[in-house]
Amino acid sequence: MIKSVAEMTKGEKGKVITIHGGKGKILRLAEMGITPGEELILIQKSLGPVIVRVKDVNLALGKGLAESIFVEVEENGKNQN
Amino acid sequence: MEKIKIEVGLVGNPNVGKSTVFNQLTGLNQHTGNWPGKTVEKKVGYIEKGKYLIEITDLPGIYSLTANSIEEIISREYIVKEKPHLVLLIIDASAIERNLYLLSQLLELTSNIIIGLNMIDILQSKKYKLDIKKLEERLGLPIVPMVATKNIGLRELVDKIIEIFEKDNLNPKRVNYGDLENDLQEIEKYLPDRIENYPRRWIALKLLEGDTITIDICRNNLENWLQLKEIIERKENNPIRVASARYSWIKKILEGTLERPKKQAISWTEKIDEILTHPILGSIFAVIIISLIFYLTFSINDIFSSLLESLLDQIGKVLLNLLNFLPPWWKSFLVNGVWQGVSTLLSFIPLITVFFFFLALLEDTGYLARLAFIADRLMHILGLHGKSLIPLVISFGCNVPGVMATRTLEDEKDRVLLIILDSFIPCVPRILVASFFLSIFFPDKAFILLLSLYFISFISIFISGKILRRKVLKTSLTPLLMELPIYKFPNPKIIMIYVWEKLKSFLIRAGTVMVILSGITWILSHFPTDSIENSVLASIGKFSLLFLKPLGFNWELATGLISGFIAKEASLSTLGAIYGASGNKLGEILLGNITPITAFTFIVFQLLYIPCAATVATIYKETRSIKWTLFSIFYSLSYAYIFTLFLNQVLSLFWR
Ligand SMILES: Nc1nc2c(ncn2[C@@H]2O[C@H](COP(=O)(O)OP(=O)(O)O)[C@@H](O)[C@H]2O)c(=O)[nH]1
Repeated sequence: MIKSVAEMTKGEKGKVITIHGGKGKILRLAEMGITPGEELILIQKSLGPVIVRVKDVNLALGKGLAESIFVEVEENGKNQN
Repeated sequence: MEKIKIEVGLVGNPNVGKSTVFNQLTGLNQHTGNWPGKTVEKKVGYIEKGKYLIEITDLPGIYSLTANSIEEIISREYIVKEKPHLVLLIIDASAIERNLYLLSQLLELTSNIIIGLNMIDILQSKKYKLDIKKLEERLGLPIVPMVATKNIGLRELVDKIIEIFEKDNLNPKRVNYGDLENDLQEIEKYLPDRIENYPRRWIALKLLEGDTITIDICRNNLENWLQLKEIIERKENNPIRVASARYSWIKKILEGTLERPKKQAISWTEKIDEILTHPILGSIFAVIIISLIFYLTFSINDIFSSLLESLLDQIGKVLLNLLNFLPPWWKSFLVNGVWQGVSTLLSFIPLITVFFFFLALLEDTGYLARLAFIADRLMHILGLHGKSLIPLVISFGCNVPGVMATRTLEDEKDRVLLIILDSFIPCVPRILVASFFLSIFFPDKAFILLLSLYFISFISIFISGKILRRKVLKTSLTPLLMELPIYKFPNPKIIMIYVWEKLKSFLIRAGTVMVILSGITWILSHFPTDSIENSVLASIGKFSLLFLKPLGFNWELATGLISGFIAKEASLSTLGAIYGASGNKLGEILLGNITPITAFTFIVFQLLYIPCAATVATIYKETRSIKWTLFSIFYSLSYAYIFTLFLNQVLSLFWR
C-alpha cells in the first residue's frame, strides 16, 4: 500500500516511492539521505513533525515534508484495500 | 626559523565532531571572525609540529556543496579559490553511508583529501563492523580512525597531515556515476577544462543538479549555452538522478566493507527519545527545561552581577580620584561617559557566561535538536522555526544573549530575521520602565495592561515576521528538516571553549561599538553645558517632536526615549534629571503633565522603538553588517511609530 510518511504509524517501515515538490526540495531531501528506493522507519510522530530513520540517521521532518514523501509499506497480514 | 605552513580546510556534516576535532587540535590557539561579507562564523586555528605550522580553517558544517545555502557556497569557494594544501573531511563512522555523500562531491573539486573517521566508539557500540583497510583501498584516500572526545587518533591525524603533505601523491578513485556517465560526457564536450577554477566534470554535474550559481556562470561564459541548456533540461528528474547515482556509488563502496548486524540493538538515544520527543511528555519536559534555564540564568546572574556592579562602581570612584588632574569636563567624560560604557559592557559577563553555559550543555548533549523538534509546531504559528524558541525565550530576560543565541540557526536569512524580531521581545529593563508608568497611571489595571504588553509584542513579532520575510528577505519558511544527533555526555572542555568564545567575541566585538555609542551619548547630553535641558540631546528631543507630537509626547519624554537607547532603564533616570525628581515625586509630576493615553502610548513605544545600545552592538557583532544593523534600528523605529500612532488614535476614540 502506498501512503505518505505523515500517514505512517509509529514503528512502520516503508520504501520511498516518490517525493512531490520542487527540484530544490527533492534534492535537499536526497542530500540528507531520502532518495527513491531507500527504506525508512517512522520513529516518532508529534503534532505535525515526524522523526524517521534513514541510512542510520534520525531525521526530523516538518509536516509539509512528511506529507510529500510517499512510501510503499508492507501489508502485514491485514485485509488489502 | 620560518616554519613551513600547511593549509588545511576542515569539512564535514553537522554533528560529526568537527568542532571537537578543531578544539582538540588547536586548543585556544584560534581566531574567530566572519567570512568576508557573510554572517557566517569563520574560525582559524594553528598547530605547531616540528618545522611545520598547520593552519586549520574550520568550514561550516554542511551536507552537500550545492548553491542552496551560504554555508555550502562558502565551503566550495574556499576549496577552489583558496586552494588549501589538504581538505580534512571528518566523517561520522556510525552514519557513514550518508556522510560519504559529501565526499563524493569533494572528490570532484580536489584530490587532496584526508578522512578523519570519527565516532568509532559509537560504531562499535552499534555492533557495526567496518573494514577500514578495504575502505581506504576502495577510495584511494588515507583514513585515520578517531574518537575525538577521548583524544584518540588526533596525534595520528596530525602525523598523517604532515606525511601526506610531504609525499604529495594522492590519487583517489574517481566517482562512477553509472547511467549518468553518458550524459556527463555529452555535457563535458561543451565545456572548457575549467571555468572560474571549477573543473569541467564538477560543472557538468552541477548543471544536471540545477545549481543556480553554476548555471549563471555557464550562461555568462559559454557561447553555445543554449544548446547545452537543452541537453540539461531534457530530463526533468536530473537532480535526483545525480543524487541517486552518488548513493549507488557509495553502496558499492560499502558492500563488503560495512557489516550491519541483522537485528539492531535499541540504543540509549532511542530509549531517551521515546520520552523526550513524545508529543505530550516531551512538551512537558521542554517547558520544565526552558523554565529552569531561564530561572537559573537570571538568578545566578543576579548574585554575580550585584557583586560585579559594586566592584565596578568602586573602580569608577577610584578613577575619578586618579583623573583629578584633568579639567572637569574631560574627567566627567572619561568616567561617566566612557567608563560607564565599559562597565555596562562588563556587567554582561555573568549573564553571558551562565546562559551560554546552559546553551552549550543543551547543544553538546544533543537535546537542543529535540527541543527544536518539539517547538516546531508552536513556532510555526509565529512563522518561525523550532530552533527560534531559545533565542526568543532568553530575550525576555535580555536581548543580548538572545541575539547571540541565533547562531544556532543554520540558515543565514532565518538568522537575520530572528535577530530583528528578537528586539520586539520586552526584556526586563523595558518591563521595569513600563511597570513604573503603569503603577502611576493605571494602579488598578496595571497587571492586565502588563499582560497586554506581552500580547502586543507577540503581535509585533507575528506581523513583522510576515512583512520581513516577504518584502525584505524574500524567503519562505523552509519546512523543518534536521538531523537528530545521538545523545552524549557533555564534554567539559568543549563547553568551556564554547563559553569562552562567546564571551571573548562579545567583549571585543560588541565592546568597541558599545563604548563608542555610550561616549557619544554622554557628549550629546553634556554639551554645550553640563545641564541636560540645554544639551544637544534635549535639542534632538525637541526636534524629534516634529514626528512624535502626534503621539502626544512632550520634549521631556522624547529626550528620555533617546537616552533609553543606551540602556532602556536610562529613560527613567533621564526623565528624573529633567524634572529634577525621582520615584513617587517623578510620578506625580508626570501625572500632572501627560494624559493616560499618552502614558500608555509611551509605554508601548519604548517597548518597541529601538534595541538598546548593547543589543545594537551585538547585532553588529553577529551580522557583521552595518546595513543589517542600521536596518534593524530603522525597522523597529518605523514599526513602533506606525503601530503606536495607530494605537494612539484607537485609544483616543474609545478610551474614556
Ligand atoms: N561518542 C563520541 N562522541 C563524540 C565524538 N566526537 C565528538 N563527539 C560528540 O559529538 C557531539 C557533536 O560534536 P561537535 O564537535 O559539536 O560536532 P560538529 O557539529 O561537527 O562541530 C558533541 O557532543 C561531541 O562531544 C566521538 O568520537 N565519540
